[in-house]
Amino acid sequence: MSISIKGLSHYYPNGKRALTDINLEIPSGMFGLLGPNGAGKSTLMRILVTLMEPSEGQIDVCGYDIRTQRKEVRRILGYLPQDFRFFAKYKVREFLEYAAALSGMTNSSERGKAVDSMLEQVGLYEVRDRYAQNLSGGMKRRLGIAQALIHKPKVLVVDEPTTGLDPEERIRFRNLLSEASSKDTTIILSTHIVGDISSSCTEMAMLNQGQVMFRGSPAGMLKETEGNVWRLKVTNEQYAEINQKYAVISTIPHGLGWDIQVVAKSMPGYDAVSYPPNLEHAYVYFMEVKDKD
Amino acid sequence: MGLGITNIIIVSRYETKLLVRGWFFKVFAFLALLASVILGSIYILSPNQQPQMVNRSVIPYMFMLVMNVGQAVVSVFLASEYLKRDKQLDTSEVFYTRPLSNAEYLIGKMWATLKVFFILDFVVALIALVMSLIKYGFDLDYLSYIWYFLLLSVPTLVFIVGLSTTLMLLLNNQAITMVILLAYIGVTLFYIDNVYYYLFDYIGFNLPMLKSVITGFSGLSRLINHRMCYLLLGIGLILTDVSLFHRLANSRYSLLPWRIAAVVFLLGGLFAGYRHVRLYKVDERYRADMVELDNRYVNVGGAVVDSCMLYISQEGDSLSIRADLKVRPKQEASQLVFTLNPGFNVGSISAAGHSMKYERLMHLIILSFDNTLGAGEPVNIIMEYGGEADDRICFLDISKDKMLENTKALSMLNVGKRYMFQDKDYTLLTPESYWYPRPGVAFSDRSPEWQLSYFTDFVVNVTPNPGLTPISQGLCTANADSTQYTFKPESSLPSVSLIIGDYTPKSITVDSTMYTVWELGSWDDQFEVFDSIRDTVPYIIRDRRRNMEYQADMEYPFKRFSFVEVPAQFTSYKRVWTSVYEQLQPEMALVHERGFDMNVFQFRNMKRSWSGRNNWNRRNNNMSEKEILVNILNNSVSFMMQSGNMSGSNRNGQWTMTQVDNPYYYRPLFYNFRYNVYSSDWPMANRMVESMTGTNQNLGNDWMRRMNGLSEDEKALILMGKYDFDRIMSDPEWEDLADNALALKTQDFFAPVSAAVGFESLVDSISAKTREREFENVSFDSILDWVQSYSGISLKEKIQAWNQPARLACYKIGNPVITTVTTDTAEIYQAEVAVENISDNPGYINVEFVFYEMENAGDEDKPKSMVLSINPHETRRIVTHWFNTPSYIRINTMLSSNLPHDVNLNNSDWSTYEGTELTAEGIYPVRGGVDNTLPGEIIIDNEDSELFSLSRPLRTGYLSKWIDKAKEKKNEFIYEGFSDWRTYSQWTLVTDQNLYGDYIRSAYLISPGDGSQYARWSVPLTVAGVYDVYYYASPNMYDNNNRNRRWNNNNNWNNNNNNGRRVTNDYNFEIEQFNMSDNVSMNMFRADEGWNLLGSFRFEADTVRVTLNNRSGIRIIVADAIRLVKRDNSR
Repeated sequence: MSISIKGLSHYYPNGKRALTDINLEIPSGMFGLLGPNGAGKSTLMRILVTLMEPSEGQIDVCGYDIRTQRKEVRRILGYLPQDFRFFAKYKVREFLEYAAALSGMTNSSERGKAVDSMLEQVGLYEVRDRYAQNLSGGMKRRLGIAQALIHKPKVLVVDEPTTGLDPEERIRFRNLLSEASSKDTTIILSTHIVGDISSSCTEMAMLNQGQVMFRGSPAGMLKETEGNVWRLKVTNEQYAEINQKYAVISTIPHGLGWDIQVVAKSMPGYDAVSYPPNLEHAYVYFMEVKDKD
Repeated sequence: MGLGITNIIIVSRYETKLLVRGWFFKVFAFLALLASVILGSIYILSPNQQPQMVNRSVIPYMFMLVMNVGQAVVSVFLASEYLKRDKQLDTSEVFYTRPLSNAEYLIGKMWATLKVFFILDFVVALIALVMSLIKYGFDLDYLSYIWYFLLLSVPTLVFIVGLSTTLMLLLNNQAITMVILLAYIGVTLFYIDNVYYYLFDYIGFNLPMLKSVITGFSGLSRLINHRMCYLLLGIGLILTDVSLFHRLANSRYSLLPWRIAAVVFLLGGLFAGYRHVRLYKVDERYRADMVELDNRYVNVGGAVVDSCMLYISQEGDSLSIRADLKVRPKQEASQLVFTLNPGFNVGSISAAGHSMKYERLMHLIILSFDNTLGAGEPVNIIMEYGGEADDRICFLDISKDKMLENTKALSMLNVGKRYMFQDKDYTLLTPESYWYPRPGVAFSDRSPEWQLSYFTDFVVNVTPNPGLTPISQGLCTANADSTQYTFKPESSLPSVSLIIGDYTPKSITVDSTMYTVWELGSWDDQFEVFDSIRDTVPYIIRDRRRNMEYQADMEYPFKRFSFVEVPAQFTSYKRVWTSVYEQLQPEMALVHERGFDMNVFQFRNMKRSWSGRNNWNRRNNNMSEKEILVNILNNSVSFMMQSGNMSGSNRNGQWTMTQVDNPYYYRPLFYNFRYNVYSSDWPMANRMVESMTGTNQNLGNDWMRRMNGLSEDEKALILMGKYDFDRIMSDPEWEDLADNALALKTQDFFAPVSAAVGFESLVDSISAKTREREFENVSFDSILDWVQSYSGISLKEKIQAWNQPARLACYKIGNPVITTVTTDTAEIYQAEVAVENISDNPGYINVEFVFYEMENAGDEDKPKSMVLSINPHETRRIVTHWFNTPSYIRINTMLSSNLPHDVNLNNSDWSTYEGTELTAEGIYPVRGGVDNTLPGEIIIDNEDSELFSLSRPLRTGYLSKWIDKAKEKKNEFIYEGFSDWRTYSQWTLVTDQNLYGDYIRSAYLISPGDGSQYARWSVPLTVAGVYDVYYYASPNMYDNNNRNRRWNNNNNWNNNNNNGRRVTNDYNFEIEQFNMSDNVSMNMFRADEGWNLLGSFRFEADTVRVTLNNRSGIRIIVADAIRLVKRDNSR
C-alpha cells in the first residue's frame, strides 16, 4: 500500500477539530479525495505533504513515517497547491529548473534535459522564456503540475487542480494526471468537482466535516446509492413541499409543473420512480441523505 | 545538521535573480553607482582636492561608508521582502515540500541578499579604484579596499539581514518590522553616536576607522572586536532564524544543532560587545586609579630636574632607556616622586652608584632616601627602564567624553585619536606620554601643583632600529655608521620628544637657523613644487620669520625648526593650564601625514588653484608662476600665525559659534618653550603672565556675540560671578570659556597697577622682566616684587581671593558729550563720558577713545586708553581733548555684570554743544550719578521684573514643553543669539548694545503671529496730566534687510500673513487706563534708532498699560523699553 493513514486527527490551536480519526489506505494510481469546501481535504493534503504536523495518528508514505522521516518523504513527493501563483520575476524554464534543482537534480545538463522534456510534455516549451506571471490560467496550472512531476515523484498530491479552468484545459489537465498515474505514481486528487473523480479515479474517499464518509471505488459509491434516487413530475405546490423535505438535485420545467430528481431513501405519497444514480447523486446521498433517519 | 552547500547555492542563485530583477534593488544599485560616480568626481577627479585625499585609504573608507549606510537601509527592505513574499504565495509551499533543510533554504536566501550587496560593493570599490588609478596612478592603498569591505560592509550586512529576518519571523509583519528597523538605523546614525564607546554603531558610521599611511588603523584589535560583535550576532540571528522559520524541519531533531550554534554565536557576539565596553571601562578605571594615586602624592616630594641625559636603545617594538637625572628637591624631603609611563618596567634605580629603594605604583616612582634631602640639595639619580609605553597615561586631565568625541575628516570619516605611537617601525613619544621620568605627578583634581613645569638641560642619545632615523630637540650628531645619534639642545627646555621612523630630511639653512621637513614617504613630492623658486625660498622664510617675530614682539629662540610628518590620528587637547598643544614641540611642529587635513600643505593643489584664479583674472592681475609659488609658500607659513578659526556647533538645541584653536599657533615656540614663570601657590601664574604679555586674537567677536547671544567673555563673567574659579577652570562643559575667564581674571588682578601706571606700561614692564630670564625658571613672586617696586602697588594679597566667585560691579554709562571750543590757536573738541558704578562692588573699567582710521584724527591726536577704578555708587567723568572728534568710545567694563560687557559709543549718538571754556583733561568725580533721563520722565525697561510682563508662550505639545524644560535646566546663560533668518516662536531674551538698558541692554524678540502674544509695560503714574509715550526702537540691530527695503518703498509696505489677513509693517500698541484704550500703530520702516513717539495721551494718576502684540508684517517684534514724558504744566 502506497500511503497508510491510521487514526489521524488534527485540531487547530483554537481547539476546532479539522480531521477526526481518519483511516485510509491509498494504493498506487489516481486516488480521489472528494468533499465540500471545509471538509478537511486541504488539511489532510497539507499533512500528507509535510507542511503541517498532525495532532494525532500515524501516516506512512511509501514506508516512511511522515513525522520522523520528512526528508525521505519530501524526496518522493510532488505537490501542486490549490492557489498556485508565481514569483513574478521567474521565467517558465527558470522556475522549473529551480524546482528540479531543489528536488535533488544537481547535474545541470541532466536537469536541463529533464526540464525541456517536461516542458514539452506539458506543452509549455514554446513559452519557456516567458515570465511565468504572463501565462494563462491553464498554462500556469500546467507549469504547476510540471514542477510537481519534474523529479518523477512516487506520490503526487494535487489540491483542487481544475478549479477555474475552462473545459478544454480541464480535460488536458486530467489527461496529464492520468498519464502520470500510469507510471506507478500515487496521485491524490483533492477536489470538490465530482466530474474530476468520475473521469479519472479508480479509488476514492469522501470527506465531510473532517470524517471519511465513504471509501471505495466510484462504482462502489454508485452502487451504495442505487435505490435512493428518484424521478417524478410535480406541480408547483408539490415542488415547494418536496424541496422542503428532500434533497432535490435536478429541476426541469415540464408543462405547468416540474420534472425533478430527488435523492432520498424513500418518497412515500408521490408518484416517484427509481432512477439510476450518477456520482453527483452519490455525492449528495453521502453528504445529505445516508446518515439521516 | 549536515549543510548542503549545493542546496544553499541553488537557493541563493535563484533568489539572487529575484532580487536583482526587483525594482527596488535596481533603483538602489543605480543610485549607489550614481553616488559613487558623484563622490568620485567630487573627491577624486576634481582638480580642487581635499587635503585628506593624500591618504589613499580615505577613498575606500569614504565609498564603503556611504555605501554601507545605504545598504544597511535597503537590505532591511530586501530581507523582509522575501519572507513576506513567501508568506503570501502558496508557490513557496512547492519549495517547502522539497527535501532541502530549513537551514539550507534560509541561509540560501540570506546569502542571496548578502551576495547582491557584496557584488554591488565590489562594483563601487572598483569605480573608486579606477578613478583613483586615473588620478593618482599606482600610488594607492590597495589593501584598504579589502579592510574596509571586511570591517564595514560584511558585519553590517550580516547583522542587519539576520536582525530583519528574525524580526520578520517573530512579528510576521513587514510594515512593523520595517518601522522598527528603520527607527533603529536612524537612532544609531543620528543619536547614539559614541554612547557606550560606539557599541551600538553596527554600521560603523561613527567608529574611528581611518587607516594611517604610517601606522595603519588606530586600535585595530578593538575595531576587529567591535565588528566581530556584529558579525557573530548576525550569524547568531541567522541561525536563530532557522529555528524560527515557519516550515516543518526535515526531522524532529534536526533543528537542535542549529539552536545550539545560534546560542553559541549570539553569546559570542554578546561577549565581543561586553569585551568592547569592558576594554574601555578597564582603561577608564585604570586612568581613574592613576588620578587617585596622583591625588595621594600630588604634594609629596616635588623636585626640579636640572639635567636629564637619556640613553635610548630601540629593540624591536620595545625601548630600553637609561635616564641620568640631576635633581633638586623643592622642599626638604625624604621621598621624591616621579611620573614615568606605566607601560615601562623599571629595571633599576641608583644614586651615587648605590641601588635605591623605590616603589613603582602604576605610573609613579616613589624614591625613598635614607637621609632627608635639604631643599635644593642636588642629587644624581640613574633610572633604567624599558618596554612598551602605555597610552592610557596621556591626558589624564581630559574628560572621557572629550576623548571620545569624534575627529571627523571630510565631515564623515572618523579619524580616531592617538596620543603616542610605539612599534618597531614607528615611534612618537611626546612629553604627554611621560616617556622619560618627570618630577611630580601626572594630574590631580585636588591640587594644581602638578601643572608646574621647569626647564631642564636635556641630552638625548638614541640607538634606533636599523634603517630608522630618530628626531628630537637640539643639535644632532651621529656616529660614523649612523647607528647612534645624540641630540643636544643649546638651551634648557621644558620638555623633549622622541620620534623614530624611516624619515628623510629636507633642509635649508637661513640666517643660521636650519629649517627641515622630515617626511616618511611621498610627502616630498609636494615640496618639489618649490624647486623652481629654490633660490627665493630663503628670502621668503626670512621674511615670514621676521613677520612672526614682529607680531610676537620677540625673536625666534631656537637654531632650528622642523615640520615633522606624523600619523593622521595623532592628536592632543586644549588645556586650561597651558596654551601649548602637543602638536607643537620645542623646535618642531608635528604635522599629520602628507599634510592630511591641512590645505596649506597641499602645494600642488594650491598651485593649481592659484593658476586657475590667475587665468580667470588675467586681465587685471597676471601673476608669474614664481609669484604664485611665493604666495603659496607665504600662505603656508602664515597658517601658524592664526590663533584659530570659527566653528559652529549645535549645543542644547541652540546654534553657537566657538573659536577653535589652531594647535600650530606659533606663540608657544616663541614664548612657552622659552619662558617659565612658576608659583607653587598659584600654578596659573605662567598662563597668566602669558595672557598678559601675549597678543589676544579675538576672532569675529561682534558677529559671534550676535550669533551666540553672549560673547565668551560675558559668559565667563556670568560663571565667574556664580562659581569658584577652580570650578570654572575644571568643568569640561565650560572649557571653551576657560581662556576668557583667565584673561578677565588676569586683567582684574593687574587692574590696580594698570590704573596707576597704564596698561601698556605694565605689560612692557612685565615682558622686559621675563625676557631677562630666557630658558630659566622665574618665580612669580619675583615678578610681583618687580611690579611692586615699579608701581608701588602690592598685588600679593589679591592672590588670597583668587578662587572666590568674582564680585561683579554694574555700570551705568552716560551719553557722551562733545563740546567744541574755539581757542586762539585751534578748534578743540572736548569729549567726555560719565560712568556710574551702581553696584555694591568696587571695580575697574577700561575706557578707550578710538578713531576708525587714524587719518581721520587730528595731526596730534593719539588714541587714549585708561584703566580707572570706580567704587560702589561712585560716578566718574572722563574728559579728553581732541583736534578732531574721536569715532567712538569703547568701554570695557572688566569684572562686571554689564551686558554687553564692551560698549562702543559711536560719535553719531553723542550730544554736541558749542562751548567757550575747556575743562582740563582728567578724571573727575561726579555727584548724583549718571542720569540719562529727563525731568518728568518714566522709563520701563524689559529687565524690570515687576512692571514688564510677557504673554504665556503658545505651547501645545508635551514634547515641546519637555524640550524647553530640558533646555532651561542645562543653560546657564539665559540670553540667546540673534539672527535675521531665525524664527522666534516665543519671546526670546537677547542683548545688544543698540538696545536700551541701564547696565543690561536687552530686549525680548518674537516672530510675527496672530497677535495673541504680547509684551506689556505697566507704568505707575503719580501725577495726572498729558504724557508723550515713546517706544525704544533699535532698527540697526535687527532690521538691516527691512531697513534697506524701506528706501524702495515710500509708501507703507503691506503684505499678507499666513491667514490671508492683510498685515502691515507696523508694530501695534494698545495704550490703556481704566478700561479705556487707544490703539496705536508705528511703521517700523520709518522708525528711528532710539525713542520714537507713539502719541500724546491724557492719563490719571494710576497705572498705564502699554501693550505690544505680535501681529505685524515685519520679520521680528522687539519688546524693549517704554518712556512716558509728562508735558510741562499739563494736568
